[in-house]
Amino acid sequence: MPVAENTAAPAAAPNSNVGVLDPTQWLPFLRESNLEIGKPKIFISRYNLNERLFVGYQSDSGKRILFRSQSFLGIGTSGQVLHFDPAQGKVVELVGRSKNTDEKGKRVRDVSVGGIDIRNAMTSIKEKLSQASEKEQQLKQFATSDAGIALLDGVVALYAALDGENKDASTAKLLAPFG
Amino acid sequence: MLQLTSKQFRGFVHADKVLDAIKVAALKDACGNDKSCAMRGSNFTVHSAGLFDPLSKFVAQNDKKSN
Repeated sequence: MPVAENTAAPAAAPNSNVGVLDPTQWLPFLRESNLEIGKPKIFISRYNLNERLFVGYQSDSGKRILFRSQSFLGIGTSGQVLHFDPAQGKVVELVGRSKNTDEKGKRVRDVSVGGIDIRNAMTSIKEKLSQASEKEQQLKQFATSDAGIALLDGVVALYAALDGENKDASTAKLLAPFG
Repeated sequence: MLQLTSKQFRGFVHADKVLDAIKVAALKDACGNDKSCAMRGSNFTVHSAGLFDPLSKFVAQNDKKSN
């Protein structure tokens, strides 16, 4: 999904440690993963209801991920987290809408996290279904991977960095897909 | 959900590097005397055990006093 061009100036960095991400440079940003080690940082491009949330995070290991979300009036908010997968040599979703279908061929209403449908996994684990152990193992493996750690740390950094910067409901809406 | 299913409760271990000191102090101060809380924002809490809770709502100290 390409990022729409935005003519508005990027949002000002909320504090001195927070970087600014040029919205046209998200691909090079993700490709430059793992170059800076030990310098976790958040990069804010913009966030408000009329545009969309667009924030990069660099983990302690240097792994870079991109959060983006957009609110649609009367429909809801869609959100996605992207990263550059060196094994595949391309940008892929870390978090996004599930691509799996049900027995009728209809897209399931679930969120894919690291390629795992998270609600389905939670149900399997909670109800101790046959695949529970396998799903639990997959999620643990993802959560302890470079990308998983970047995601877990990045979500908290995202909420904390934007806290208090915009007290209207729009920020909460744009953050909701990542909570 | 990923935290709960993977049981990885990382908290906000790099807060001091990611945010400036004033912001970190404000988020910690917002916990008040709640020992189970490590940081609190307007729409999240990081618990001392490391759980990130994006559903909890911050109630300002002034609001608490007026209740």
